[in-house]
Amino acid sequence: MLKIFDKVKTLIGKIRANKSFNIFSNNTTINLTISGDNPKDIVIDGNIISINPKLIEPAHREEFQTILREALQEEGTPILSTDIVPLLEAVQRYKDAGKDVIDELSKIIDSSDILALRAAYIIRDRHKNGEDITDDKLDVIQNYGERGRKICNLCSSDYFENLIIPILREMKKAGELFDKGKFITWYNTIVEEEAFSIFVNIHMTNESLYDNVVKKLERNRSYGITYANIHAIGTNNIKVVKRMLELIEERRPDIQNIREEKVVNTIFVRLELPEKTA
Amino acid sequence: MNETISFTFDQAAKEFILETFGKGIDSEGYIVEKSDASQRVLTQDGQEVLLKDFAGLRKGSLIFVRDGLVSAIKLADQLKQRA
Repeated sequence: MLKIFDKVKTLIGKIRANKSFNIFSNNTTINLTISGDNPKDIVIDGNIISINPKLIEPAHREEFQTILREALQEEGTPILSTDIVPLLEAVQRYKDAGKDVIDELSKIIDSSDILALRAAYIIRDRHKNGEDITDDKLDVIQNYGERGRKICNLCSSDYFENLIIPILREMKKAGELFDKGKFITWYNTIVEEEAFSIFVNIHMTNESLYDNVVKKLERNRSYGITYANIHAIGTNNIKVVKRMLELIEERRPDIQNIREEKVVNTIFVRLELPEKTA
Repeated sequence: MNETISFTFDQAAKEFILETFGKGIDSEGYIVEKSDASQRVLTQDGQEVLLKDFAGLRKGSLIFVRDGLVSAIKLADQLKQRA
């Protein structure tokens, strides 16, 4: 039985009535585009062939349709839109984007978050290389909603490398006592409340953190959100948080510490600034 | 000799591809079975497919691919498994 490759060559020979058949007869690869916009029935450029099915004879068109069905169903060759091919190439080009983070999280967080995160890393790296990512981000939002948008934002700000993975590693130091559920709760808080959070870094002092926190609380309150979350990892950053809490107590008694959790070498604090009363 | 062939189609050839595989379009622009226009086709994750989002077919019973990055990641994984 003839293979699809040979059937295509035979069909092209028929369409061309064997004219210039040798142009591609030595090629071992054929890239065939079915183009409804092609002004000619067939265009051959080396191994790149374009066929307009509307312009070929009905008998050839039927033969072509049979070949396409066999190619897909018997040889398993996908038939893809020219729109998705560049995306597939981008996925291949950026296949290692965020790989270490994704590998580390893949057995812990939900598979839909992993897929959103893979997309987010591709978007981040494509953006860094000056590629247009507008449609890609919209696609993540279309597939994963607000959560997808938040994952993209956290990823583009390197929060996965700088906060989420370090928290996971700290919590894993507990060995067999590692509480996966607890980590997922923290992770979900970070993702869901990304806009209401402050992530403490080594460049922050207790004073600069205090300023950040007060500003964030005031800003959040103007949008009807009465709280802000503070996340820190590492002994020094935790000390900065503790000193900042002392400053809050001294200077802003209206701000309340409503939740404080310390796990291994990480801390989470939620502060509340009640709505102004008239 | 290892001979390979790839098939792609442009926007203007979408309906030809669908016709080849016995599919049509309903009044709202969704891809349907030609034999039963009330039956919209689904992607593997259960989404109906608009003609404008139709990005291809791959082997399975007949697996529809939607356009977009997330779909491309899933497709790349599936093609890798097939290779």
